[in-house]
Amino acid sequence: MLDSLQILFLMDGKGPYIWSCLLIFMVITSVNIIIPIIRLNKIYREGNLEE
Amino acid sequence: MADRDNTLNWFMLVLRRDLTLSFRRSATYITPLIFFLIVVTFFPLALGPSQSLLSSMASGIIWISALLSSLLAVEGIFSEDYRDGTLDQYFVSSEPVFVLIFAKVLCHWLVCGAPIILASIVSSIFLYLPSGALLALIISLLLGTLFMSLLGALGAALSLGKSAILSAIIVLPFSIPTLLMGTAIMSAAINQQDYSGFLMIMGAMLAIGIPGLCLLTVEAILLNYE
Amino acid sequence: MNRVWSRIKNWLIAMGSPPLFYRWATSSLAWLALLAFLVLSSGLIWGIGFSPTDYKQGDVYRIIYIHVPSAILAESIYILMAVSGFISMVWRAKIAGMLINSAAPLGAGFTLVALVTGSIWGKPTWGTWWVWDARLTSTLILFFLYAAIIGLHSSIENKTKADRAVSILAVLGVVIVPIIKKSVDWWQTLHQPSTFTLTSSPSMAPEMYQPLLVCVLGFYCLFVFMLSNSLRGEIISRERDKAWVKKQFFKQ
Repeated sequence: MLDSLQILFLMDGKGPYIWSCLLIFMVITSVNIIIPIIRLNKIYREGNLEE
Repeated sequence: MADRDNTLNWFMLVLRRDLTLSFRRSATYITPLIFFLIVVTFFPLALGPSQSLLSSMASGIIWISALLSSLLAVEGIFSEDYRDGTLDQYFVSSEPVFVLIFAKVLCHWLVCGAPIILASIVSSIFLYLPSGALLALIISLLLGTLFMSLLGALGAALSLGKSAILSAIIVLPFSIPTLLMGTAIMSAAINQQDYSGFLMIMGAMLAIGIPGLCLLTVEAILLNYE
Repeated sequence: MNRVWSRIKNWLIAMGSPPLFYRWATSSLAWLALLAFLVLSSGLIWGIGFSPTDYKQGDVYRIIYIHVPSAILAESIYILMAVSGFISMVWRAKIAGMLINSAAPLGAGFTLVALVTGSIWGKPTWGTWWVWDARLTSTLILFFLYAAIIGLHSSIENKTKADRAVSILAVLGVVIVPIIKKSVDWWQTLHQPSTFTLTSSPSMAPEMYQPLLVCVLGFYCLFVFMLSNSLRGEIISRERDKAWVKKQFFKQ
């Protein structure tokens, strides 16, 4: 089990390339999801502060 | 005066007015020329004066400088008319506005394109362009600068009153086909091949671009009247 | 069949109204996220973990499961923005303009992912971080087009006017994009020295192709979720002075 995980991680020496791609994809996607949520929460807080 | 209801007469009227106004201020047609020459000069300064290097890059450098100069020169095409209300008159008249807009763009091309082409002839000497390619350079630039003036007018209309650099960002990606065609004509001419096919493609782009881009420019100008 | 069409049509027309879309998006966000997560993760795990090793490129080709769907999505989003721009110009639908503004950063993000993953893929296969091959160059130009839309929209203060300006740009762009791609393709063949052959995507065995399809589907589901999330926020931000927002969104 550990052995195959090792193979998965290293990918024949090219592991860093693949996993960095996945990481970049996750980061950019998360940023694009989180920023609208933060914006919406800010509006909500501002709107309720006025009342 | 001739029959005022004729669109062609209005076209000629706008064209004549803009030409007169442009020639009154020498800055209008001198500055694109000087900017072009400055940009062209920077390339040998940055890359070194080696004749073989410059000669191989000459058509690209000249085309890029022409692109940038004609783009920047178009910036102010609508600002004055917008400010003093002449542009409103275009919209209020019963003439199709895109025809009048094309008159403005055509005038701009006549006034600024000619200096750019002159500057490019001079630059071909600076950059050691092979002499056989000179005719191809002039013809391709004639068509290319017209397309750039059209695109630049659209950019100017979209960013009316805002920075020129924003207009440049908007317009430059759309000028890539023109750039590729123009430089292809140049390399074909340098290799002494037939480039008439490319000229026809550029002509086709113009044939679609003139009505299409002018219509879109009208839409863009209308945005400012909300 | 006709009833299904008319129901779809009615749903689409309903979605054109900002309050109805907001309600639908808020209630659907959870299951959209779940669907996206399930499809995408199964595709990626299948592709990166279990698909066979390529004969020529080794294991590095697995980047394809991120790179290709991102590129496909980058183009589809641009087409979506252009259609939305057309709808905004012709029917003056406010939500169409808001959609362009929400989708543009998403599209730019996917384009960026495609560019970076393509570059990372290039290092072990071609030896350099960047090469001016037709696909990477067109993707770079697409990125500039997205940047132009985002820049233009943020520079105009009146957001309704900004929507209209950006619609013009999007519609013009979608006409130019195929021309740009064709001309970049052709430019590549003009300048590519014949000795240097690029290994593009490996010839696809079905065991490699199937996870790719699932990944593409997963990316589309992810985009639907991201767009609903972003558009929801855009609607509230634009309409915050309206009565329906005060009633529905803020505490009373």
